[in-house]
Amino acid sequence: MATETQFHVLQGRTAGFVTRLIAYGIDLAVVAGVLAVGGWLAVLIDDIFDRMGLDPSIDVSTIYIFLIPSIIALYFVTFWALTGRTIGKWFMGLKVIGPTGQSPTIGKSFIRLIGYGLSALAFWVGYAWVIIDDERQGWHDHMAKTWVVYDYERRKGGEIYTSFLERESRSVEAD
Amino acid sequence: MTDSTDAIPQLPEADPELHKTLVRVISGGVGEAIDRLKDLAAELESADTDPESVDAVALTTNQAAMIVVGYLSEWPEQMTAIRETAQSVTYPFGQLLGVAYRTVAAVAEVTGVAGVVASVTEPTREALAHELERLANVGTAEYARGRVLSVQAFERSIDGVIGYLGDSEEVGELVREQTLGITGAAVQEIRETGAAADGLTEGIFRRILGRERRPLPPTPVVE
Repeated sequence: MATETQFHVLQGRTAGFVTRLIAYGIDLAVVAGVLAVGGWLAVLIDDIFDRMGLDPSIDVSTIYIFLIPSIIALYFVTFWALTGRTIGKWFMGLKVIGPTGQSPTIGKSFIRLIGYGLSALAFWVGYAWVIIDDERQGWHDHMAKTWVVYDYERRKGGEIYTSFLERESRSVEAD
Repeated sequence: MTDSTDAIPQLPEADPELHKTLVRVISGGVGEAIDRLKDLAAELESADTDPESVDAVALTTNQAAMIVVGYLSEWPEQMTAIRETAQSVTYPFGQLLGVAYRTVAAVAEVTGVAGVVASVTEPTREALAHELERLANVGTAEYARGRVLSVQAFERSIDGVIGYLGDSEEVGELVREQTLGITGAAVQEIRETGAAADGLTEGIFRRILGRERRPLPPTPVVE
């Protein structure tokens, strides 16, 4: 049974697939929004150049398209290295930690980003690995030696998780 | 830009009734404000003022107003450009997420996970519906109060109202408390539902793989 002390058990424990998937979806939406604004600005600058009669050898829009991977990398690596949280992870109360328990270094964050790409390339199996991994790590976590942990204190009376916890505890006792 | 947007379906048009209502509210408010300003101008005109300075103020005001009107006139074209660019960039992400969602939904339906997840998310949906109903009631009451308040506020000078809102700690505190209270509870609910779904999903797969079940998630072993 869930006891009074178990109300705060989530903090510091590794997060599972669903929470991380939601956080990932939020991050994708944020990055898409940033890219959209950037794209609009690039088109606007090209339009201004055109109206001014300037004819640069390469359009700003073209340069922007090549910058998109760097923008995506900058978003994830900067947030992971500085705070351990992207906007999506912050919203879902998650944090990325390295082997020392602190936010990962820039190097580790970059390796994690490469792992993101590889996990996605393998038909997202690398992400889904979180479901079956004993420490709830995806391929990118294993590559960078990182963990994603819950980083919020549960309020008392959180019925949904409490009822889940009680049901699971009963099932384990019955087993 | 034109080539890339050709294959993208058009976004649905905005709700005309909503638009009309918004326009009515804005236009009515502007009309009311203009009438009030006319009254104020008449009062000022009757006062003893320097004619040259009045002309200068009127000219500057007219220019500023014309700039705003010109900008607003071109706003639909600007918005169309923004929307097209945003759509062309976000559309592939949307397609990708759509495929991922349909795949997950199909797998969840076949394996019966959808039913289990629904049993967890149902209380959240009910709580959300309850919260929305409460907010609608609050909104109705607040709207009626707001109508009365707006009439009273109009009777005061603009400087006085801005000063009052800016200086009033109670107003700021009220806004902060309401915002934090509603969003905080909702976010907490989403997080805990997610954590429960994490455990459920993992439990199902651990059963399938014949591994020992664990009610609590593991803690990472750090140095």
